[in-house]
Order: sequence, then structure tokens, then C-alpha cells
Amino acid sequence: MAPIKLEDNIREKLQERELAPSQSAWDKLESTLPKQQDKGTNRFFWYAIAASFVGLLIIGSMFFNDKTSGITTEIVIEEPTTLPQEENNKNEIVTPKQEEIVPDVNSTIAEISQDESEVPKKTKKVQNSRLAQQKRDITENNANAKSAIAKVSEENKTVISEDKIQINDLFKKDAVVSNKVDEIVARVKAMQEANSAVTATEIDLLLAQAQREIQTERILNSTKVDAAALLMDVEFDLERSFRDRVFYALGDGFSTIRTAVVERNN
Amino acid sequence: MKVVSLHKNYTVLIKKAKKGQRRAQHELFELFAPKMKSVCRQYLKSNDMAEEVMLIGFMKVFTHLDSFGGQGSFEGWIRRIMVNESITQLRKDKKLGFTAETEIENSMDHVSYIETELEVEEIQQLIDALPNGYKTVFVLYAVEGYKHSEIAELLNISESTSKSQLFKARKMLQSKMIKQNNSSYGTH
Repeated sequence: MAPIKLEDNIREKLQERELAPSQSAWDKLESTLPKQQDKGTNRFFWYAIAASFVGLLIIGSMFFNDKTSGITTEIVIEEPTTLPQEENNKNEIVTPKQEEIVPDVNSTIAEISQDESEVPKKTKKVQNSRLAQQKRDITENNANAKSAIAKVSEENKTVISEDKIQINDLFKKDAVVSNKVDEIVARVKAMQEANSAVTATEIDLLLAQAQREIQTERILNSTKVDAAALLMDVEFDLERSFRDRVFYALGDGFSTIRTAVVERNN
Repeated sequence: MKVVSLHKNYTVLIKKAKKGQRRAQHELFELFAPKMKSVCRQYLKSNDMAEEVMLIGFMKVFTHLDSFGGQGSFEGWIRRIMVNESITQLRKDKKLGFTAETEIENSMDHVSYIETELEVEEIQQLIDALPNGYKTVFVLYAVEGYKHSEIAELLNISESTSKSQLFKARKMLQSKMIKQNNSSYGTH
């Protein structure tokens, strides 16, 4: 048997040797190890949560963006259809008012012209109050059509100003009308003096002539094309009032003229 | 093959342990603690002291794991730490003294032979019986494979002191062996 080197024997044996540590060894070691390492794992966990949250946000925002983009395209499609409608509505709102205002003003003018000779100051006041009311009505209506407020109010203002100008013109023309009435009355009286009886046809002729003259004067005096239409609307009322005034002015010959006119009408 | 697979496992475990994963650290501890306790026991006379130093060594292993570059043996790296810690412990206890240098005559010829293998317990007893200075140099040289220059640097002694310590350690072991076995294989 070959002798064994002592040192080789020692090295081999010691290098192979294992001494089991006590059961509490790891716990002791763990207690001395820095606790940051646990935090490290926790930190990683929190990072994971944060990352997933950010991911969800991104996905959500993408989804939301898709939705909103769909809505915007819908709007883009709808806009051309809705806008003309709105414009039409505006036009509708504006045009009837203009039309409404004109007859109202005309009717007030007619009434004013009827009462003018008696109480011109009062009628002016009444007219002003009515105009104010109309203005109020217009502004209330305009409040309903919010989108068209600016345009409508501006247009109405212009309309009102135009109407005012027209009313002033009419006042001037009413003076012309009263002159004509005086003229006709003078003529009728002259005819009555010349001929004992005045026929209905003569009076009719006189009236028609006077009316034509008044109309031509008005048209000549009117500065705007609108005035013609306005006058046509007023014509009937004016005619009646004109006749009434003529009859009234004739006084004594009233009954004879009246019956003649009624007969002609029949 | 087993070594290769173990090495692969180490690298994965080391990576995880570097990140501070307790489980990986525990696995590494389970793998190396018994051997490292044995290493410490070579220098220290009691198992308890060996374990205590081993635990300090492991704490340093895990806290300085980043300084292990992955090159070379992980076991060798841990072993070095354990050796250093054992020597530090001996220094703390002021048990590490080195006798004066003596003239060494043909130290390379002093090779002891034994007829039958000694059991590890017997070896430990022999080593425990050596003075700390002799023992440390002997273990570093004969078991761990350190060179005299390395030992001198590690123990902060001269190379000749290291050599004389080794010589004296061998002589002493020899005499002890003779006493223990009642049969000595001497020296030429």
C-alpha cells in the first residue's frame, strides 16, 4: 500500500467537508441584511402598477379620441345641412317683420291722418308710443332668434328709420290732401252756385281727378321705390278718408252727394 | 456536466440576488453555507464561531454582490471573503501571533506520508492543536493554495515569516501524527 501524502490528504478532506449551519443561521443573516432590498421588490411592483395604469390611460385616450373623431366627422357632415336652414330661418324671421311693420305703420298713418286735423299733437304722441311698442316687439322676437340678433336688429332699425322717413313724407302729403279737399269743396260749391244741382257723375269725376293728382304728387315726392308699394297699401284707406272728408266739408250738399254716390255704387 | 449546470444556476441566482431578491439570496446561502462554514472552521476553533464568521461573510457577500463581475468562480470569490473574515476575527481576538523567524532547512523536503487516510475530524483536531499563526499559514498554503507572497500580503507579514510558519506547522503536525497514530512515517 502506497503511503499517502499527509498534506494532500488534509486538503482533499477539508475541501470536501461541509458543515451544516444551524437552523436559525439564515434568519440571523436575513435580519442583518438591509431591508432596502425588500423595498426594491416593492418598488418594482409599484413601477409595474404605474406602468399598467399609464398603459390603460393611453389605451383609453386612444379609444376616446376615436370616438370624438367620429363625432367631429358627423358634425362636419351635418354643418352644411344645418347652416342653410338657420340662414333661411333668419330670413324668415327678418322678412315677415318687415312686412308686419309696414302695414302697422301704414294703419297708424291712416289713423293719424284721420285725426290729424283735430288733434295732431296727440296723434304724434300715439304714433310715437306705437312705434316704441313695435320696437319692443321686434326686440323680443329678436331675443328668441339668438343667432340672428345682430342682423335682425340692424335690419329692423333700418326699417324703422325708413318708416319714420316715410311717415314724415306722408304728413307732408296729408297737407297736400287737405289742400285738394279744400280745392274740391270750393269747386263743388262753385258748381252748386252755377248749377242748382250737382250730379253724382260730376262729383265722381272731381274725386277721381283729385285722387290721381294726389297719387302722382306722392309718387313724385317719394324718394324711394318702397314708397310706391306703401302708398298702394294705404290707397284704399286714404280714398275712404278722402271721400269722407269731402262729404263732411260739403256740409249742406252732403245728403244729395251721398245719395248720388250710393246710387252710383248700386 | 453537473458543474456546468450548477454554474448556470449560479449566474441566474446571482443576478436575482443582485436585484435584492430574498429568495435567490436564500438559495445561494443554502448552496454555499455548509462549505463556507467548513472554511471558517479551518481557522477558528469552534463551530459556533465558524458560523458567526460565516454569517458576517455572507452579509458581505450579499451587500458587495455588485463587485462580483461574474468572471472566475463565484465559489472562489465567496471563499476569499470567508478567509478574510476568519483572519479578521482572529486579529480581533488577538489570537493571531507569529513567532519569530527561524532558519528553514530544506523545507521542501519535509513531506509527511501516512499509511491510511485520516478522517476529517482527525485532521481538524490536528489543525486545532496548532498555534493560530502556524495553522493560518498552513491552511492558506496547503489547503487554499495561496502562495507565500499572497499569504504575506494577506497577513501583513514577510514572505520569510510565512515560510517559517509553514515549516514549523509541518514539523508540529508531524510530531502530533506520530503521537496520535503511534506510527510515524518520517521524513526521509
